[in-house]
Parts: sequence; C-alpha cells; structure tokens
Amino acid sequence: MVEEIPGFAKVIPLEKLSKLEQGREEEVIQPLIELGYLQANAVADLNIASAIKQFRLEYTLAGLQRSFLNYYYEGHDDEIDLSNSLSGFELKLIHQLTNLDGEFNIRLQNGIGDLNIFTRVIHYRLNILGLFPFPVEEPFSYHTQKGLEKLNSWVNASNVLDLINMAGDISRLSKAVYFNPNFEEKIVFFEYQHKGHAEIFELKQDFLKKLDDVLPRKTEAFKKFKKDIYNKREKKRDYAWIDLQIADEFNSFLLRLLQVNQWIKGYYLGALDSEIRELTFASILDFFKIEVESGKVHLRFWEFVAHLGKGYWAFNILYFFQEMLEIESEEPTEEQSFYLLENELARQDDKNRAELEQKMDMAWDEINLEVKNRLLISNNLGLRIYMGAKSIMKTIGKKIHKLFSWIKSKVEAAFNLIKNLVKTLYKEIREGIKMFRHGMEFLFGRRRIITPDYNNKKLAIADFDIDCDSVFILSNGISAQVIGEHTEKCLYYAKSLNFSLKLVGKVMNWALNLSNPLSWSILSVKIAWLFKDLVKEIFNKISHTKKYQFV
Amino acid sequence: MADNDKVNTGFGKFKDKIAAAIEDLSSLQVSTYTGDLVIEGKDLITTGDGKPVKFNTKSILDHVQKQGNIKFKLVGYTYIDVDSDTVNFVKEDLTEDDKVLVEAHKTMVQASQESRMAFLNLVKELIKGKF
Repeated sequence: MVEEIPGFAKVIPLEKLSKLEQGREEEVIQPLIELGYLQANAVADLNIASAIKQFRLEYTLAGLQRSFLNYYYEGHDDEIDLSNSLSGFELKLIHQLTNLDGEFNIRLQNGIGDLNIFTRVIHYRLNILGLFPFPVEEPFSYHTQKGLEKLNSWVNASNVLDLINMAGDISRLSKAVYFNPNFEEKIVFFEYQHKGHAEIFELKQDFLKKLDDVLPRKTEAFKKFKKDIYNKREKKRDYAWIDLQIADEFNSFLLRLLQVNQWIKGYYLGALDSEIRELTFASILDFFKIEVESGKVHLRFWEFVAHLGKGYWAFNILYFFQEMLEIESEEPTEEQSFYLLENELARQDDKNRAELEQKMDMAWDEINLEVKNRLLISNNLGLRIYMGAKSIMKTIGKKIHKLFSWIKSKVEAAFNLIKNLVKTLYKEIREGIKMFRHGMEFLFGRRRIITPDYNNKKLAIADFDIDCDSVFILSNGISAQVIGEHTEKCLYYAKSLNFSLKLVGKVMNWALNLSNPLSWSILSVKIAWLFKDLVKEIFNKISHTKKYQFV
Repeated sequence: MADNDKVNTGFGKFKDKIAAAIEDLSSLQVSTYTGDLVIEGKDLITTGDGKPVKFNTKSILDHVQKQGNIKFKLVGYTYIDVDSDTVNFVKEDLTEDDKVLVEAHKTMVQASQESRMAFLNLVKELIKGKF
C-alpha cells in the first residue's frame, strides 16, 4: 500500500503516488525478454522469478552491483517480496542495459563461447538492428561475429568494442552510417500496401528533383531509377530491379535503422522488423507533421517518399538522414529539456496546469493499458516501449510550447510522442520519488531497521537518531547469520541515505528558493531530473571499471 | 522564500528537524545491546499452517518500551567526538559468540558514520549557493 510522504502529503497526494505504480510490471517484463532471461511466449510468475534470479546472478558476477551501491535501498517494508519483481536499482540497471542512447559502454572483449550479461547486451543490440536473428541468451559465437562484421561494413568502427558501443548509441551509429560512402549512393525501397497513401504519395517530379539534389554524384542507382522507373509508365516499370534492391541487406538495415530511430525518439511503438507497415509509415508521417508544425516548414513528405506502383515505394534516405541529423544537432540537451519543461509548467496558470496534469494522467492510463494488452500479443514484443529517457526528452525539448497545446487538444500526429513522453517521465518520477521518500522518512523519524528470525522467534533492531547516533539491540542467542544479514542491511541503508538525503537536499534547496507556487507537476518533474542527474553522477564516479562504463 | 502556505507547512517542519539535528552533530554515539527479545503471540502473524509470514513491528516495540523488566546487556559502546577523539567500550571476557556481537557493533559504527556523512551531505546541498 502506498503511504504519504512525510511533510509533502498536500503537494504529492496519495492518488498521484498510487497512479505512478501502474505499468511497473511491464517495465520489468519487457527488458527481461529483451535480454533473453524470459521467453515472450512463457511469461508466468514462476518463469519471471527464475528470470530475475538469473539476472541477479549475472549482474553480480559482472560486478554491476558496485555501481549501484549507493542506490541500493529497497524500502522499509521487510515484507516486500522481490522474488517476482525488481527493486528500484535493478529496474534502473536493466533499463540502462537496454538503453540505446549510448549511456552504457562495454569495455570487456568477449570471445567464442562466453555467456554473460555483456554478451546478452551485445546480442540484444545486434538483434534490435536486425543483425542477430538468434536467441539473445545464446553464447557469443560465430553468428555474433558475423553480425558485428556486417555492421562494421557499414560504419567502419575503430575497433570491436567501439563497434559494440556504437550499436548501443543509435544517434552515433546513424551519423556513422550517414558518412559511409555506400550510403551516399543509396535509394531505399520497400513494399507497403495502402491504397489511400499510394494515391496521395504517387511518384512526382519533386521526388526525383530532390533525389537529384542530394545524391552527391549521379550513381548507377539514380540513373537506373530515372530511366526505368521515373521515365516509364507504371505498368512498364522495372519491378524486378526493385525486388532486387529490397532483398539487399543494406536496404533492410537502413529501414531497420529508420524504425529504431523513430522508436527511441518516441514516434513509434510497434514491432521492430524492418517492414514498413501502417504503424511505421504513420510514425514517419507524424514525425514530418510535427517537425513542420515546429518550424521546419520546408519539409515536404512527397519529396521523401514516393509510391512507384504495385505497392512498391522509394524512400530518399539520404535526405531524410540529413534532415534528421540537422534536427538532432539543434535539439537541447536532456538537462535543458527538463528545465524547459519545468519552466513551461510554471508559466501555466493553475487551471491550465490542472488540465494538463489531467490529460497527462489520461495518457499514462492509456499507454499502460496498451502495453498490458499488446506487449506480448505476437509473442515477439508486438509493442515495445523504449526505456531510455535521453532521446525522447531531447526530441520534445524544442517543441515544449507546442507540446502543451498538442496535449490539450489531443493532436493525432502527436499521440505516440505524448504517450511515450508521459511513460518516460512518470517512470523517472516514480523511481525518483521513492528515493525522495526514503530521505524524508529518515528525517521524519522512520529510522528503524528490523531483521526477524522467524524460526527461532528472535530479532535484531537498529534504531538511528536524526543526528545518526544509533542503538543496536539483539535477541539473546540470535544466530551469527541473522546478525550478519542485519548489519549488512544497516550498512546498505546508511549508504543509500547518501543518495536519498542528497536528493532531498537538492530538491529542498530548489523548493525553498522557488518564487512560484509549488505544484505536483513542477515538483515531480524536478525530482525526476535531480534523481536522474544524481544516478548519472554516481555512475561517473564509480563505474570506470575494466568491464563496463556508465556514461 | 516562496510565499506558499501549502509548502511552508511541510518545509517549516523540515527546517525544524534539520535545525534540531545540527545542534547535536558534535558527537556520534553507537550502543549495542543484547536482551530477552522474543517474537511471539500476537506479535507474530502466521499462515493457516503455522508458517510465519510477518510480524507486528509496532506491537513488539511497544512491548519493549512498556516492559521495564526486559534486561539489556551492553556489548559495545563507541563515542566519537567532533575532533575525532574516540571512546570505545567493549564487554569483558568475550566468548566466541560475543566476538560476533563485537564485530557487528563495529559494522554498526561504520553504518552510523556513513549515515552521518549522508546527513552532512544533505546540509551541504541545502546551503549550496547561500554563501
């Protein structure tokens, strides 16, 4: 049961705290599937428990627990059963591992036969990019090397580890692909049957003209396209040549990269499969509509895509990447985006802000329901939520002014973006508030740690004062094992206070100097950012081991 | 400071707490006791087949506080002054079992020092930018 936060019951109401708990189960299940600990077609309590056990074993062996020592606290309630769920720090860890924003670097070279948490991350990254069609939980193998070699042929990384980490940083990977000479010659083709879209985006002169503008030299592909597709009537076009282009691995990879970019930026919520179907097509359209609305008025969708007949399409990928990378370079940093969001919330009057909060709560309900119903529908992650925050926060940064009006008027093109933003934001808020609560409970008197030994009806108690004087009481004859368990718990408690009290200090410093009235949404966004920033600070300090690095 | 009643109610209490704690930061005291503490009766909640599932913390602690006749023996006591002067007391004639308790006491001192450091970090964050 969720309890009030001491001293903050009015600003952080119970109903808000309860709402934040929604959807957490799916946030645990999805990455467990992504890393191969759990099979999508066998999600049951028993399997989740065994997947979590294996995950715990592997992250401990990899030494990853060390990085989270100061963020280890599980909550005061000794009755919480974590055999079937992840603690706050574990959830953060597994989301970091499956994050594609370049925030987790592997620094350990793996070889054939290795199987550990890092090989799972490597396979997951390759799998996301469509380059490892095997179970993620398989050992590092010839197939892994083949996938890496294939990727390297398109990006030219400086070494294997650089390549692996590039695969975990989609923005960097996209740039590397963009600057590859092969890319300059590329027109992407795909099949997509949609009568309405086919009519609207029929091949026009504008498409060829833009292709002519952006391709740095007139390649064979361009000449062929002009001669046998553009200059021919629909019936006479060389569809066999298009089929050959579609079968090309680089063509598929670029479609996948496009899909993954759409996914991490919050426009796309479907399966990652390199196939352009209605959801992917709609997400690209949404991206354009939103960018045009946000000031990129020169963008015309029909200059990027063209229907060539019989459900075959051409995509001017070079132009798309050019624009996408330019948009990315203009985006604010993640920190600036949080700050802009906080400021924009503060600028709203109470009525507007309440309306916004209500609409965002509705989006939260919707996305959680959608995830619950669709996450495993195809046994192949038919709906995947991206668990990183950096890309989506950067995406919305420049659009904050517009975003609020989109939220209020439920603009269709911004549906996915808003739902994704809310999912990302509320997830960070929930975990941040847990640590904030931990600190506040310490200050407001809940400073007792109890370890029971049910079998022998004995117990150990540690009682801390606010100034940290402590009294430690043990039942006569209590076993050394229980004592050890208890002191370890107390030590973790003390270490986690380092994190939570620092968070409380930062929040309070900000709040005490605030010139505007404090509201739920402003406070929660602030806690979310300060929490995220503090986690990052801890990572930077202690995670420079030989095996991995949090960035 | 913000003129905000809703917040000030919580913040007022917060500031009082911090001020009270700061007054007592000049020393750190850690005490370890053993005593006749048993979980039973209504303090222990069991399943139908008698398997313990949880216990009633509040009831146990009420019991400890109200029952003046529970005898506690001091195992270890540590006092650390602000200038790092330290006083350590450890029970005499340690048995093998007692040695475990003394080790536990040492860990508790470490935990208290960590907590103190955390509290100082909180104060540091609060006064950041004020000077």
